[in-house]
Amino acid sequence: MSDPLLRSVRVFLVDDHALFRAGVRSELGATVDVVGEAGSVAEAVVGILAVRPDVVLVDVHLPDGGGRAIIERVLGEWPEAVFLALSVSDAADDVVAIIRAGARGYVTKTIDGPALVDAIRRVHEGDAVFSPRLAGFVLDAFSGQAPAQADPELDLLTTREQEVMRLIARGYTYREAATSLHLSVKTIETHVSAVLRKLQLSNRRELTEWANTRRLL
Amino acid sequence: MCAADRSATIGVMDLTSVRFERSEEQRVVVGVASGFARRHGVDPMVVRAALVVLTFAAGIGVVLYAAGAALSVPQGSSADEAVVDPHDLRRDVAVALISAGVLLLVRSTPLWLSDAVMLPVVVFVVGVALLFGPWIGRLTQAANEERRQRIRAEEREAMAAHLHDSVLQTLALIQRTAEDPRRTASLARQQEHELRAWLFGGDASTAGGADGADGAGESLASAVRTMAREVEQRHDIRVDVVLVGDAPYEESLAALVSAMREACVNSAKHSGTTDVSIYVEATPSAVEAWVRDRGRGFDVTAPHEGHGIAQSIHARIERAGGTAEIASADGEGTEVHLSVPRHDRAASEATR
Repeated sequence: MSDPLLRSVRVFLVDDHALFRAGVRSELGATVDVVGEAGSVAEAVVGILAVRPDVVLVDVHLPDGGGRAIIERVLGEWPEAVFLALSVSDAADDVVAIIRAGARGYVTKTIDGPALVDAIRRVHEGDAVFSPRLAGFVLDAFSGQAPAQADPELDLLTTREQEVMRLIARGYTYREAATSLHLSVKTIETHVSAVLRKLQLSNRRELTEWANTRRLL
Repeated sequence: MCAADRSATIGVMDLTSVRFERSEEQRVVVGVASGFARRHGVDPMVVRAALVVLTFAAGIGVVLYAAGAALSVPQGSSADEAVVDPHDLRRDVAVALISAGVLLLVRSTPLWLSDAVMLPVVVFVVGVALLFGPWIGRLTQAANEERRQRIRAEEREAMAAHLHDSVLQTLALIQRTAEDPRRTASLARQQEHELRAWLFGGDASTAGGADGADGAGESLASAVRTMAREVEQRHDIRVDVVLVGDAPYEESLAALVSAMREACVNSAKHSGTTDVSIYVEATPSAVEAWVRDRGRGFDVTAPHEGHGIAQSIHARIERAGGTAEIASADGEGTEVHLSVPRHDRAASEATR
């Protein structure tokens, strides 16, 4: 079933596995407009800046700097670009590093078609996409001792935000979380976006460590 | 005949007056005497005679010969090689000074036999070192390089063997089970877990990360993951695990994991779905777990025969001093909430 609203979402695919790109293209093709593809960092940066898509699906692991390099370079020239990371890996280092580079969400490649479309729609509308695992990382990172010069805006989660993260970690969708907490879905989305911002900007030790670990694969 | 003057200036000092070429044609040992003689326009025999005489004077002759061997260059070297790298020179002088300092120190201890014995020994050792030092350096470098290459080759082999044993086998199996998508997905997932564990040295889903890849080791996290993988394998379902915090694995937690397994297996058997999510959170005072599926659910208020879900899970947990709640409704999935207090030392220290 193709949502006429979704027809207008223009998506750019970046992954160095041509087979995977073909698979995603065929899975999304009916509901979303795939306006471009790239298999390398250089091609991706050029392509994205030329085409100016609504959402970029970017893999974390690419040669020459990976998804992170693409995000940093594109955001340098076009700060409004929207990135959704899509990867095999679900290691803390990879996930947190690419979120801190500027991605608005992270999904793993085992995700099914409809869930991927939903995630694309969500980032396109300005919200963040948090998988249960990412929510777990967030809770882990923000659970320890707050740093000495903690910026309450960035280095601590509010009680509400913790509650929301906990529900997401338990596998709740935003709708289910809204029902459970007696809030609207919009409020949940707002809390999640706030957490994303903290994740991106906080200087908590775990986050900087995870973001800085280099993987050699 | 004089060797051509080299007008090279070096950072530290002008060595053109000292450097000379060793002579190949006229050499007796390494051509120091003849090279020196040629450089300064004297008869080589005169130089050799002088060296021999000086040898009888506390071995100075040998020292001079060795120094000459070190400072001179082989015949026919280019002008560039005659230039001394200031860094090398500084380092060599430093080594010499340090050694001299140590020797002087030793000289004042009973270890120093006597000047007559030790000084020649020292001079001999220095000479040998100067002569053979670079050669030994090259040897050790070659040995290191060879070791590095060998290690690299071994790692490559190990990786190939592992991939062959695991991934290739699984891919072959998958082709055979292609008609059974559930089995295929399960095989693929197991292989994914295993490869991930091998690549990243243990699931990195917690900040602490890095516990052993298999085996219910000493931590709650590894016990939960092992349990999840077993359930996945046995029942062909997906079990997603999210862990926050960790705790040492002791008895009350064993009961918790056992209750969790029970809940997962129930979901596998009765929910009608193939996806279960587990969320475990370890705080200083307790460990809480939620096991959730989005299947057909059941009416928690009605009595159950044959399932015994509630009894079994409640019993296990309550024996460990914990609590269990089961939330479900027809068509709305099931969520089991388990909680046990912690009794380990780390916990009590944290809550003191």
